[in-house]
Amino acid sequence: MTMDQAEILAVIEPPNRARGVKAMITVGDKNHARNNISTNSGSVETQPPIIRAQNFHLYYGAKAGVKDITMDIALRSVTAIIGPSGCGKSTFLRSINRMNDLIPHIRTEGALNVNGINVYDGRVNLVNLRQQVGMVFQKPNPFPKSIYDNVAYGPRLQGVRGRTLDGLVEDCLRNAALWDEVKDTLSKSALALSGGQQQRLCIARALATRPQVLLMDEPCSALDPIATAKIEELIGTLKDTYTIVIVTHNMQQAARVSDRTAFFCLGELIEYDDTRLIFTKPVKRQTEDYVTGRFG
Amino acid sequence: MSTQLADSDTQTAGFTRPLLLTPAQDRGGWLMGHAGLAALMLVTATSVVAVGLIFVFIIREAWPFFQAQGFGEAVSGTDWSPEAQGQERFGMLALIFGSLYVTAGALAIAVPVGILTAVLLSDMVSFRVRQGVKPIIEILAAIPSVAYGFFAVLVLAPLMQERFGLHTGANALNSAIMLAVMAVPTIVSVAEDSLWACGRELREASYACGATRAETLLKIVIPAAHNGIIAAIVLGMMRAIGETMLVWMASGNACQIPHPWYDLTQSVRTMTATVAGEMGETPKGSTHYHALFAVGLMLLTFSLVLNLLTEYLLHRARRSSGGHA
Amino acid sequence: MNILVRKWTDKVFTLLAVLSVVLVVGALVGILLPMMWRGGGAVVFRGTVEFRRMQLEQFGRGDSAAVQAEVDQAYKVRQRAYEILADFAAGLDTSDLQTHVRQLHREFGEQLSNRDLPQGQAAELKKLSKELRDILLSALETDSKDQAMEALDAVLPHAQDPGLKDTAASAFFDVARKYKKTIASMDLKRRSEFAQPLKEVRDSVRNLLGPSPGESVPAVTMQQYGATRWDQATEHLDNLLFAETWVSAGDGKSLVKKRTPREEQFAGTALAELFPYVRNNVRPMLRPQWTFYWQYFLDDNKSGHYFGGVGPEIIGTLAITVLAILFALPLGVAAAGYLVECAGDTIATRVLRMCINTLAGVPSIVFGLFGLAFFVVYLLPRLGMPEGSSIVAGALTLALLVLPVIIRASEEAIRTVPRAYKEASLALGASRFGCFMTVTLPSAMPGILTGLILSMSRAAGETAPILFTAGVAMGPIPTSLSQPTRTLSYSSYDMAVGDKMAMLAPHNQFGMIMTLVAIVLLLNIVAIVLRSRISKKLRGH
Repeated sequence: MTMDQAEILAVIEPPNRARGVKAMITVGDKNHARNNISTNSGSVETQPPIIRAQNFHLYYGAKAGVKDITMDIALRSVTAIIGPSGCGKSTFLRSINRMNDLIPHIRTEGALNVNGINVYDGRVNLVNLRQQVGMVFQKPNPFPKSIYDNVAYGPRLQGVRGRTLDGLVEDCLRNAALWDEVKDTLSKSALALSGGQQQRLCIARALATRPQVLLMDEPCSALDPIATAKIEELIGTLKDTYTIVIVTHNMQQAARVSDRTAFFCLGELIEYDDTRLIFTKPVKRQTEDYVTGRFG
Repeated sequence: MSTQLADSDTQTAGFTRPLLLTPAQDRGGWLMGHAGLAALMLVTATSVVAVGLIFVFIIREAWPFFQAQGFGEAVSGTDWSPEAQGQERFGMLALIFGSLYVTAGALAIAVPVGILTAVLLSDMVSFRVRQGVKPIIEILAAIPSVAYGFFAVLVLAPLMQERFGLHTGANALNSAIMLAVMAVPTIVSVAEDSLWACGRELREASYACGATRAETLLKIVIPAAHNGIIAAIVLGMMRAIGETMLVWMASGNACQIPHPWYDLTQSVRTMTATVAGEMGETPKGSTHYHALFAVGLMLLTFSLVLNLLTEYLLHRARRSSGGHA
Repeated sequence: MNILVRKWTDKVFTLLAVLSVVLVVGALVGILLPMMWRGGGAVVFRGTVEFRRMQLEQFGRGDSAAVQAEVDQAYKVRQRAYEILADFAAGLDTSDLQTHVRQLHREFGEQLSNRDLPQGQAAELKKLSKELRDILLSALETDSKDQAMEALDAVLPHAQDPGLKDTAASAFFDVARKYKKTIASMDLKRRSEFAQPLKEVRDSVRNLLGPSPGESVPAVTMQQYGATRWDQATEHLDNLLFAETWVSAGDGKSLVKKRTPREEQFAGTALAELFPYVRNNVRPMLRPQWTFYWQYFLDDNKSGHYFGGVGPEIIGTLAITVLAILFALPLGVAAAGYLVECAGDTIATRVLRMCINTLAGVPSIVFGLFGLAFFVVYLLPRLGMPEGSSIVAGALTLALLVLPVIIRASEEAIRTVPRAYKEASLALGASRFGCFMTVTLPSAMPGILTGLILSMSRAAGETAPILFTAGVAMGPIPTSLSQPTRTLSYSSYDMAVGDKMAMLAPHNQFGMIMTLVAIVLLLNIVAIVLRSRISKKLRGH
């Protein structure tokens, strides 16, 4: 984060919930050559990136989780992160909304910017960050509350009540393609739903805080193919509104849903390009080996 | 609070909430966070404060006694007559002996019974029986000591006097038996936990070598769990030494060391019963008052030492079982 | 080693283990059952008409018309017994009769002066009355039966005297007749012998049936009623029907009790028929009925726990326990939250845990001493409360006692909340505090509740900490928290050891301890059930 940005930020008025505050603009560095990928793809590239990693490292104690990650994620795109187990995909994903903080003794180097601000800056307000960068987890984890209360959880924290809340809950459940199935049983426990429904509920819950970015950590790995298909369809509709970063170990899924794909291996970013190219004409040998199934 | 996605020329995304907030800007949050944490730490520190206060106040009230009477006679004299006008004596030896005597008697019964029960529960019965017996043990532990004392005085003491022709039913034997009943649940639950924590693999290895169940238990499992079992015994001992109401009601309260020393059918008095029995009529601030606090201090010290011992043993048990527990 | 020896060792070992468990379970049953059974007898028992009368007069309970009808019926049957007794007593101790006779003469004299009679007649009648009086008195005083009989026979013929009919003097002859009958079967020389046994018999009858109709009402409530319970009645009946004496069993041996039926003791006297009469009619005299005295748990006791119930003790126990939990619960849950969420593996945390464990190991009497030295003597007077024991002091002391229990149970409950919930909550933008309050704590509630119930049961049963801080053996129901109170635990102790009167009402002794144990057991069973439901839920999901 540059000094200009810091100065600009320093004069922002204190947060006023009613008015909302226009966020900072990233004065993107257009000469971003460190992005080690070719830039011959389409319209996605012309907008400044909403997430930018610059030589980002994360260490658990002495061990490295991810090393020297530099990549840009564009607004309203779907980016898939693939790679074998233990390669740091989830670690990287969780760094974006600082969920890694739950692990003791972590240390970072480099910058991981969301909307121009390094999320590992000490002054970052985690509550605001996480409300605007939502996450869906691998195993569906609805709260042991009613369906309504699950979706309403986030907005309630922000002070939304009453009819606005009802409308918001319905909205999100529709966007998550769950409304028709649960509209009559909103007060039933969320734990009574099937796995696929629970995951869609978690997506609805994440959408309820009106995030800009949706992080999905292997959202379908615990689900059956039909539920998986439904969620992939959902991602297709959501991408018009949200920026989605999805970690998946299922390459076909990555190929189906994403615009760009990043291949991680052993904590490093190996290759990052349009999905088409990654799967048909990968540049690196490792990438090719992985996508053709020679290891993983 | 809406997130309008228009204005795409001036911003990359409609982040409505600033990500960066200095403490000055986020006064509410910062305050909540730090003040809340401070309040929480303070509240948690109550336990520390409480322990500190207990020591401070007990020592404070016991100190005048030691200043006036010194340690020597207190711990070696057997004559405890604090109310003898002009000739008060504060020899606590008989009291200390009384406490240890009934405790030893109680443990002599409770340790074998407790450990055997624990062994049975961990190794000899099915899961369902174990689930059924454990609540019974818990209920035994939950019965108030006053109830045990009641039983000791109104049922057991007359029984001893009439059926067995003893001189008095309120004696060391009565106390020891009832204390054993009270200590057994503690011993059983802690010992059983440590036996369980040894793990199935240990037992399977022993059976695979052709050992009988008794041999497996006696030679392998119990020694492996020895830290936990000793901790269980020490905890039972703590329970017995610290017990007040039962011994007050059932021990006879005769301040003497029995002749001969192994005659359990004589009355004795424990430290706890002395404090409980005499404090009610003692004027605050008198020598007697301070003497009773001195007895209390001794009790506190005993239990502290035993507590530390238990901690140490359980710590070693956890380590040696590799964190199974 | 021989395989056979090894096998037998195994069998013996197993046997010993089974024996141990049987011993433990047997101890539980053997201790609880008698106490609960006998304690139950304080609530469910066969109550007599005396009980219903007592309930009406002392507690204002029951239909007075119905009770009165019953009492009347009972008295009809008792009448005879009282008569026999009174007559015999009159025979033994004639001083009342003598006073009565003198009184009669005086009255007669007065009556004479009020009537209009010729002078000479009045003087003559008076002289006659005086003569009769003197002869009667001599009959009443003498020890010789023959002399008495002679004198009585000298008096009786004057019964038909017209001048004495329908006057006070005619009562002379009733006295004479009665007395004649009384001494007919008695050896007057043995009068002194009967004095003591008669007293015993009278006491037994009073214990059994209450004061007789003519007697003045005793000041002590306990003595105003006969046996209120059928088991008491049986005991008193036994005392009535049998005399116990200590006789020597032989040279050098200690004395043994010997029971003689009182019929033998009073053989040949007018009193002898009392005993078979009472024995055969004791049921209609007392009218026992199965009674469910559930108000036992509400009533205060009267006459030193002889009558009544344990209501104030229950209130006292509840007051102290609830207040203690109110102090300890927030502190405990907050401390548990801190330990799980915020505390790192630092020395401070280790010290903290050690302090909590130390607190758990302090003997309860030391808590009592601390409560006395700190709360009662030092702190509360400085806060403006009056000196001395109070509910507040006791509750604070108990709060410290149960704090470790609550901390441990809450910590365990908070730790078992699945991490996934916490992650989901934080990812949705909850602050750490918000996450704790909205997700972790509600999920941990059942476990915390279990800990709460267990500490309630612990606090209710503890006696030593409240001995010098809040408890009293007797006293009014407290009206404010700065007063001491009776509790079930303290009163149980007092009734078992201190209170001599309590020995006379063993059902109330056992009733008190049964109430305490029942409350404690109930709380524990609820906690156990709750805990098994929680673990089922956790295993199910």
